[in-house]
Amino acid sequence: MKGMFPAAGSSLKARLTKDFKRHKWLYLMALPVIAYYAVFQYSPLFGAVIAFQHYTPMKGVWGSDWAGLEHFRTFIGSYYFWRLVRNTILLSLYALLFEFTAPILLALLLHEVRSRTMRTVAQTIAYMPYFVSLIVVCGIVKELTRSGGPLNLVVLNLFGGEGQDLLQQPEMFRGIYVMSEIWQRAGWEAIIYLAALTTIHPHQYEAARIDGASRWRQIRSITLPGLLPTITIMLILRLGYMMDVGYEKILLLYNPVIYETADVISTFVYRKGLLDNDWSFSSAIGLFNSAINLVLLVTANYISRRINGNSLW
Amino acid sequence: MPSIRPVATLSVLLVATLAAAGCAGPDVSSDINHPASPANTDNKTTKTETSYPIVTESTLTYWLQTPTTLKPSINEVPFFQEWQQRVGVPVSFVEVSPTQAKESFSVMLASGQLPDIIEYNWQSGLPGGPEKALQDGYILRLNELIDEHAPNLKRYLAAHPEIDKLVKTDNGDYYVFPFLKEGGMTTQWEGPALRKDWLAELNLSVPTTIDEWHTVLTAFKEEKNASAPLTILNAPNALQGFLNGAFIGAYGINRGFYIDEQQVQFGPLQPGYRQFLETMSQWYKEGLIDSSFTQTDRKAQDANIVGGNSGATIASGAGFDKWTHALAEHDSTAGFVFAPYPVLTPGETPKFGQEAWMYGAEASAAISASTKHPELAVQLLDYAYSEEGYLFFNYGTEGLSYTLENGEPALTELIRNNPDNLSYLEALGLYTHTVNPGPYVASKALIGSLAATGEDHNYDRWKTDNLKHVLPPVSISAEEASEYARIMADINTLVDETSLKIILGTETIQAYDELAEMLDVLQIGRALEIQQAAYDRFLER
Repeated sequence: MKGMFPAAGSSLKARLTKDFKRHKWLYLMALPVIAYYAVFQYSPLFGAVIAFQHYTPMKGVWGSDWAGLEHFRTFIGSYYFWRLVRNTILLSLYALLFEFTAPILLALLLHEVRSRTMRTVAQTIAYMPYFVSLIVVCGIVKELTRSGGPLNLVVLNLFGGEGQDLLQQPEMFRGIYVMSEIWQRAGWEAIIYLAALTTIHPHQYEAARIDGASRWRQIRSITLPGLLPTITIMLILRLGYMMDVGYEKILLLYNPVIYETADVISTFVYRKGLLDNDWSFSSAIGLFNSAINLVLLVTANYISRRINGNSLW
Repeated sequence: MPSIRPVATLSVLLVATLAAAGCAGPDVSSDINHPASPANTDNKTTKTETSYPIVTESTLTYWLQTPTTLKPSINEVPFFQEWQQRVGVPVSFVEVSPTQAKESFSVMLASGQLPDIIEYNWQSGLPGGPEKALQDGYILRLNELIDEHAPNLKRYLAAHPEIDKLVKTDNGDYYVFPFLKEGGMTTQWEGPALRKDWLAELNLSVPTTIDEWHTVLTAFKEEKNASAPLTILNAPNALQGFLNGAFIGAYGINRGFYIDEQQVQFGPLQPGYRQFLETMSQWYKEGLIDSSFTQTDRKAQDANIVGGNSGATIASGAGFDKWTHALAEHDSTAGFVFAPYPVLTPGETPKFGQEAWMYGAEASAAISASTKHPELAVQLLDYAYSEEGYLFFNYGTEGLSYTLENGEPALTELIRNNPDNLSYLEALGLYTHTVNPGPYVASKALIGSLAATGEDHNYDRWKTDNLKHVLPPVSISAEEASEYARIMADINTLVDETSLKIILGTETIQAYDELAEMLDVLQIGRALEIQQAAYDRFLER
């Protein structure tokens, strides 16, 4: 390994040159990835500048008039601001509580299944919905919840009511959204936890059994602690796009009757930007949303590093 | 994103496009609606006649909504092949699905890369309309180009000053090659209708007032077990079925802006709107309106009617023709009878209904400001307004889709009785431009001959005073465009949401009073001011 880390005394430039020469093929291999990030992830960031302009495509980013913070002020002062923020946060929180924990529970359950065949079959069935197109999923949801649809009848029989279309009732939307998310994603997201579970050494379970630990005790004392680092990282990653609730699904499911609970910042951005051609205003709202995301991500990372030492950076 | 739903048949497409036309803009004075004839040839003022086919090396790009789903691409549609041949200009079409046209249009504008010709509703399709589009540099002002290179359109507009007034902005700028209509069924095609056989069986006459409608719908529910006696289309807009004034018009108002004695009014601010909501809420509670009505798209509406769950709806005549055929397969007595737009007291003339302006701005072709071939684009588009072009766009190719009998065009067997089992509307979609709006003059005679008319299908029963009350295609000034758009976006969301909640019974009618207050806070006053100014400018044109 000598020569891998050049002497600390040499200058940065010299070290870089040397490193580059030595690993030029590795650098070459990294090039497409760097290019990808530069072109598709970083250069579009520049476009965010239109949030501070009265953007007109024909005048371009350089020629459009400046608006300063006007669009941000308009948004924060607008009639729907609090409702949008509230809906976005609540929907994200529910998704976090239920949809984030569902794959963990599913992984634990699958892990406990003794029969290998049974486990494979169950797992395959569970992650199948992930490959169904979102449009189809939303079509299914609409059919299930419409007046006279199977899910609608279940609700009608359990709780009574008039059997009205569930997607016409504001209080139902969050539940429908979260449930469809779980159905769609839990199986797929469980894969990563299942992979993490395989790294727990069987000896630990053996030792526990010899000590007389019950199945429940084994889960609590071996499986869960073994999963914890993965859960933490997944949680932090998840918080990073917390405010980006699955707006495509919401767009396909919502209607004005349930805007009260279903309209979120990203659907508002869609309506403003793509339907009303108010690009600058909608960029400003999008940027505002991203800023909250960034704050959440940094905070979560900080807390996690303080508490259990796991963090993204 | 709205779901991608291929349009099932062309007849549906006709309904859809005509309905879209309806929202675009109705009329002010009824004399505008005199039947118009195709371009007069005796009024030759322009010297630069174009001789077709033009010989050119250049290709033009042309953005439009997919006209037919019968062929995988527009390039395989005979009409569009023949058009290029006749004009002699090769065209590369950019097709977008009608359900995604709005997003596609917005993305195209934002990209700054515009095709040479863009066929769209430049009036209501973007905030600020044509004035803003001209000012922001998307499209060309066409006045000089039309003077020099579009003798046919120029002649047509000179012969029809009332249309000329509509197709210009307040500043007198021409901005598109317009989709024009000749009146008759080209401007009036939609209204309420009921199952005739049900009415006869129950011994009821065609309802004219809101109270009579209530009686009829209740009877449909109780005697005919209709689960949704009245079904109303509610896509793409939540209150789509009411937008043209059916039922709501009985209360002397409409959902949007309208004119009363030269004053612009906003329907939801009027006491009539409260009455309308109260009545609909009551009907909904009694099960007279489709219980999933906020989710009723064309497919659901078809299912309700063909399945016998509904005995009344609001649709285009072509829609009723289609359903009559579908119902006839199981029940030969099934049929529809057109009903007048409902009113409150018997004998009243309905104030609002579907009747469009002869120019409603939909599917009109603008030329992008970045084009390298403005003259060529103008020449390509001008062909449609010639006598030959009029016949070609409406009737197709002589000898193929029509023949001249005593100087009058008559459709051939290829259209009337298609060998490939296409319906006549589908066949028209392939060989003519008739079923779709576009930059040409739609023939009143042809459209009139396509619909089944008669005692029951009497289009005159749908006559209203609509054109005296509905806003003409006014233009909001470019300066006020984004302010107006923002105010109205918030207001429309609030009105739709509150209205639906009241009708569905989620909230009581008291919510209306809050709505009226909130509208003030959201600056409806300012929006009214902007509309009034636009209307005043229109009157001065």
